Amino acid sequence: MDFDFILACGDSFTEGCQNIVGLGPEGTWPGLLAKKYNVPFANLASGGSSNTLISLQPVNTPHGKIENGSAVEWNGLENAKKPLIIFGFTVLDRWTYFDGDMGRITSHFSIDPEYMSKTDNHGNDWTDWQKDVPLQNLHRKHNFYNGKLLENYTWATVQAINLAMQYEQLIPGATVMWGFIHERHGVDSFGENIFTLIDKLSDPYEVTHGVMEWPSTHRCFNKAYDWKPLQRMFDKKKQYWLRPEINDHHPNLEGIQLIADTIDTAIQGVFDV
Amino acid sequence: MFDSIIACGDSFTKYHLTEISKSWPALLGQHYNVPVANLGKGGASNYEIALQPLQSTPNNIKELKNPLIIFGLTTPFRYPVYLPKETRIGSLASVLPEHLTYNQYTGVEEKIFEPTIKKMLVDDAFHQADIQILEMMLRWKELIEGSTIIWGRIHFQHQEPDGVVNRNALEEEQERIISLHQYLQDNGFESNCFNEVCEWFPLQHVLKGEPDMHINWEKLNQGTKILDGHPSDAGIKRFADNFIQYIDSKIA
Repeated sequence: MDFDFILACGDSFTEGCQNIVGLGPEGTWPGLLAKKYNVPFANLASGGSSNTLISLQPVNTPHGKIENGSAVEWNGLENAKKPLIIFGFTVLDRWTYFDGDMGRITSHFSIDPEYMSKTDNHGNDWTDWQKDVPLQNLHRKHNFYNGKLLENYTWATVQAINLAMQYEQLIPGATVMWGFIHERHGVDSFGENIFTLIDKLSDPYEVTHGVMEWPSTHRCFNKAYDWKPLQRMFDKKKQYWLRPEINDHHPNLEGIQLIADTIDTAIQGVFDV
Repeated sequence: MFDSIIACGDSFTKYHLTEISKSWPALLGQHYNVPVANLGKGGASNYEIALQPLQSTPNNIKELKNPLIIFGLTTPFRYPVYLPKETRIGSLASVLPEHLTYNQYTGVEEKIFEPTIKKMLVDDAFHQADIQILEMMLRWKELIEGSTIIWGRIHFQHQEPDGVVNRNALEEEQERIISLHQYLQDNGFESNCFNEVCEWFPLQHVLKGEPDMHINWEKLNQGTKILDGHPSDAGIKRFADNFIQYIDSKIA
């Protein structure tokens, strides 16, 4: 083993829906991994986070405060010499914005107009501009990446991965791993695997698939599941769902264990334990 | 106590109409004979400044051992935005309504933020945001091994966001800096605020409106009118002298 701390970032699939499951951070997949390797850990994940926000969680998350119902404690990180930082990325199309009330960057879980017309993650009413911005951005292609012109939400995830890898530069001894856990339910954002994308910029009725070359795949834990997003391990198996009665596909304890086991396989691949 | 310097800030840190080798971080590097990374960026908001170690990581970061990280805050009246073209956190450099426009370079329709900016002004939320931002800045100490963090306000404005000149702005700013420092100490943070060396005024105040200390400072018959408050090379030298005085007394 070549790490002495686990710092986990992500959305609800990493946060573990702790208030519903009824277990603390120890019952989440980062907690299960920390127990197996007998190292301290911090789970900074927050429900509804965009990939950009996930990449900022190590610096953006208040220390030792209540975050969306979960206590975020970082005890021991200052003494860690070789932290393992794991980014559990999510669906591509979430919107990142500055929340003046919170005084920091946050994100909204959906750009679906049906949800944008209600309230944000913190119970604030959406104003007109909040509804407009993400929808404007969705349909703009701005950036070339490996010869492809990407729409903003895919490009944002590329940049989020690059930012995540940057922690290795900032923290001597740190190892960064990343991968996709959560994928859009109903309309797959990925095709057969994380390298095939449904082109949302095409005519809505014309679904095309493109090849996507993500950066830093040598640290991507999806390799341990044939490069598929980890949610697919249990997305069609209700016995792993948290609340099948309301079609809630978040993982229950058994599903969380599946995620932990798969990421553990990837960890062993990286560290050759 | 430190083997390198990482400076974060806006144009008052980067350099403005001069050479980067004459910026105050460069002068500090020469004085202490340590390598320097100047991550300052013109127009940056305080939130963007807090993220500069991550968003603007220098290529030689691994050579910057045990860094002294200096966060040079700017006016609170800048608005962080997510830039869709660059997919990074950037800033609206001004919240004045007449300055909000479609920015073809960033791809941001700035006008749409006007209602939220107005609400934040009414609620004094820009100053409240500075508290969260300072906590973020101090959090880098836990992430970057061997680092020491100092912070303080450099750039401030006499003009309120509605364009009206506030004659008491300096004194109000002094109270806010002391209040921020006190808040951090009361909440268990190690707060090293370099404004202490200049009586808790923003560092910009050490230039005292002397024409030679500014790039472009025009005296009018009706009083003194600032055309450009950025420091001249002599003004930058005065900034550096104040930093050295603080660092020698509190850090080194």
